[in-house]
Amino acid sequence: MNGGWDAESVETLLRALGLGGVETVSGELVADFEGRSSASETLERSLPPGVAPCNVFDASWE
Amino acid sequence: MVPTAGSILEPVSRVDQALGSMVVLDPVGLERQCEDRHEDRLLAGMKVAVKDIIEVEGLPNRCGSPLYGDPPLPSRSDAEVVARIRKAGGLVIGKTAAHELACGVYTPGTGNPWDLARSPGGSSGGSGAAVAAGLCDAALGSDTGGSIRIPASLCGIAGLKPTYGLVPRSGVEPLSWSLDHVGPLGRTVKDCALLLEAIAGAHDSDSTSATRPSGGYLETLDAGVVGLRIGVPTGFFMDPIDPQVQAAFLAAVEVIRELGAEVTTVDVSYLVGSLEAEFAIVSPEAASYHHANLCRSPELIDPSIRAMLVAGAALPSSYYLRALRWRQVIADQMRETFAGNRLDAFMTPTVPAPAQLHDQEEFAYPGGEEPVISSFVRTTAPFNLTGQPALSVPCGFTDGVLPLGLQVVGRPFAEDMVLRIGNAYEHATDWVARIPPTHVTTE
Repeated sequence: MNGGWDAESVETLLRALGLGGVETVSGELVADFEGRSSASETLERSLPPGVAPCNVFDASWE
Repeated sequence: MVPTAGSILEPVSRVDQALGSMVVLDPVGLERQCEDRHEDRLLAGMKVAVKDIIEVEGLPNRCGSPLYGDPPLPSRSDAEVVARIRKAGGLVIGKTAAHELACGVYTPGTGNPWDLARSPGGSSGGSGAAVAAGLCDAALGSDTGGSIRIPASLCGIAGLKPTYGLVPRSGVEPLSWSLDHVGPLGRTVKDCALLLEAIAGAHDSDSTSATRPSGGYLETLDAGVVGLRIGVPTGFFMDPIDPQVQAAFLAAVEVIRELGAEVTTVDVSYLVGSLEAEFAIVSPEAASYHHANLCRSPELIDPSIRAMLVAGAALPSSYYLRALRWRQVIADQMRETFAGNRLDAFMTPTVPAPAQLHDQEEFAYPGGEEPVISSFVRTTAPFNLTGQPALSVPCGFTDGVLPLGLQVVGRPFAEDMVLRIGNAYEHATDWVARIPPTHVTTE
């Protein structure tokens, strides 16, 4: 999903996750969701196919 | 004269009234240590402060947040890193202010010793300010996206984010498990090397700690840089940037060259998505850790941090996995940058701007405006993503006498190399000799 967030979809999602009422669903929050979705899409476009997630607990180059 | 807890803490209390870097002092624990001094130990007599997300026996652990109680219960034991400092003879004086939940670059309530109207950075802002003001010789901080190096740069001291896994994190409140690092801040690079020598090494209490041998950081500290190959980036770290930071950085590169290193430019344009990946990883990891807090006491969390946690809890897991896949890409490319250019290290400005005012939200660069947090994290977070060691060392001042930092980045587990380069640079310049207006010696 890229964007497509609105107040209703965000509110429905938060309620489904047990987070209803935790945060006021404002235009600012929806814009934040949109921004994060857009950033994720940008990353997707720069990813070569077939790359697996890194092993986050191993920083070595060996 | 043998110091007592009282003689050590009196100037700390006095100077810190204006600075606000310490959240609690530990006269009881310190007195016990003063009575049990061993002059032959590595850190004998070194006064060390501890970021208030790291457990110190008998002291509350507040993490800059009201979530932990008012007052929080005292910790029942030391974090492993604190226990190691005590065992090495270091004197733990108390705990330093942190930005709420170690998630921010301001550390509200703490001033910058160079200009109290400005922030010391964050999230280890209290540690940076306390060391710069001479309240302690060194301090512990944590670094998830720059939180050791940012305060080090803004306060004019040295600070090292070690390789991921080198320093155990048991007893340290997490923010983001796969990006959190614990490390030293010190007045000098040698102070950082000493503290790292004491705290590095695997421990069973942290399943993510690396099991390889550690130590020896003092042995090559004075080996100089003759013959080393050091990469300097084009683009990315330099755009946008404050012109005074850029000038100080380029001058530092010339110093390193004159000391005998071979400097070569390298293209790291592949780091351009670092900020997006950093936020896409921190948010869900932090949301997972703080889920109960978020549901139980959302009103006790700063609105901007709460929004970040909500997004991390709610947005699709595919976003997180994309970021982890992208993280693998940059780790591979960074390894290739080092191998292809036969680099021993890589140098950048630590951050592209000097300390911000407490209420400043954006920097205005010649190339445009950028939010303060994005500016700082842009140049530091790439090495949280790759896990490489990264040291900040003072490299000059603005016209307004605000400190600037040089970042030295090495191969994984090559802390000895970054400390060696930082030490050579520090000794070739006199930045470290300058004392800020708020300091124990000027009061």
